[in-house]
Amino acid sequence: MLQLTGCVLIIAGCAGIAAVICRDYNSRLDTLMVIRDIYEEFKYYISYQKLTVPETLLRLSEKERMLFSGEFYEIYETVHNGAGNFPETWESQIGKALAHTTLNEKEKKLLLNFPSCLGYMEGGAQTGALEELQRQTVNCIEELSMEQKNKNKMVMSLGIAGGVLVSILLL
Amino acid sequence: MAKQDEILRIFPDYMKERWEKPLLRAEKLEEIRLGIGRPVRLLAAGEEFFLSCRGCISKGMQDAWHVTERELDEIMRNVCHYSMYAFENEIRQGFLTIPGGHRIGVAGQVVLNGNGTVRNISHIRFLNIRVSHQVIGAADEVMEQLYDNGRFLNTLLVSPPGCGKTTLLRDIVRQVSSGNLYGAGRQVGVVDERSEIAGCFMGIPQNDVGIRTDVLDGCPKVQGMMLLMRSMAPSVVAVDEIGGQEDMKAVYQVLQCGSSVLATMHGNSMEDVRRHLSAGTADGHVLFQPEDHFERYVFLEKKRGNCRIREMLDQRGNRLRKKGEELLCCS
Repeated sequence: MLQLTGCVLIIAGCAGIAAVICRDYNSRLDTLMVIRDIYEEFKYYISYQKLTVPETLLRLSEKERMLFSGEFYEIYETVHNGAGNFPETWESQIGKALAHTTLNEKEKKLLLNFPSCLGYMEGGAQTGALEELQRQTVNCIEELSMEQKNKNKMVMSLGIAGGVLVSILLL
Repeated sequence: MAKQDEILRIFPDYMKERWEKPLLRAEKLEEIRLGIGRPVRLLAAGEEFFLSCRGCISKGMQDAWHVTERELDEIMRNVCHYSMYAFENEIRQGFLTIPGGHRIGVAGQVVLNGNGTVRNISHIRFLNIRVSHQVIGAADEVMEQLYDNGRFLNTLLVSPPGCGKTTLLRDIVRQVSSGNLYGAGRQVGVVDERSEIAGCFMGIPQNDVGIRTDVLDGCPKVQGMMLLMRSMAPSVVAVDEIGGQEDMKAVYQVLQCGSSVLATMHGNSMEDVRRHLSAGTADGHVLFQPEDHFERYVFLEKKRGNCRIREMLDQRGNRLRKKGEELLCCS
């Protein structure tokens, strides 16, 4: 009875480790979807309301439970009060926030590179530049979704199989 | 915020040190002119100075700081908060207004639409930072004559460019709106086509235009006057630089609605006023004769670098006394 309980616990532990790995994929996907939505909101504020970037960040920071809202507010405050320039403030604040996410370097750049797409004189051109960043984000989401579908099954199977193997070896 | 700080915020962080010394005298500063490959020029009290890379001011241009393309680009980005698109309309008109009511004139390569109108300025190569100096009390010597038993009279301010018409108009608006010795505060509507009167930034007046003043910023005069009459019910409508029949027809309509008009125009004499402001219909019917409607004419001039009021006339052309002035003869 004790041996059986031990085997079940080992298998469950291994399956848990596999689930954690799968959850990382979900978390990356969620963060990428937030980035995609941020660009969508930016497009709206730029095309229809003609708000400046700091003002847009203020609006976004006011949204409840929006990821990065604290950082957006900090950037707005710094730039609006003339205490720092936008690209450097963005890099430091967003860089810090992204360090706590599970995104890889390529994915982090989708948001970190935002200041490089600014500077267009016409609203249409600026929205176009944002669309390009948004398109890259959507591509990343699609790739990661595919990867997640394929790997989730494999990781879970390997986790359970690994647990079974360890149990057999220990018996 | 101090004027010095307002101007300093135009420049990126790394440039600020150079500007600290010249901006100590921001109260006297009139213009800062920047152009790619050209020395930085400062105009103060009618004199021209050059700024060096170390932030020193001199009359000679030996050590002058020559602005690079990258520097000018960074100044523009900084002014627009990295959001040039948000200032598309302002850039198209050739100027931006920044906090404090200061104006930045832009020039460079113009991109035209198919119909010949300006679409944008693609390569901004020259900047002219005009420091705003609101003169509180500029209208003190004329206010008494602009009222008749508490009613604000239809008034026209006339002078050649650069003699202080807009400064005077702004102070009259402030005093009429907030109330003064000669009349209670009134609802004033300002049509500020070129953001010169109120100096609005994001729609908020940066100059003191009084507590009862509504400002229609960046709106063409004719549409603006009608819009204000329909929506804001002003007692006095203030408008800068009128001229031409369309403007006069709009002024006529404002007067028909019972509001008073305060306006400025380019000119130097009553003949100029008559020539520019008379309006008629296509069948020759005279619709507007300035003397029939404007009750006060204030003529300004510039003498030895100082703007002053040359004379004030009433509807019949009689000379009026300014505050503190003894009038020796009347025509």
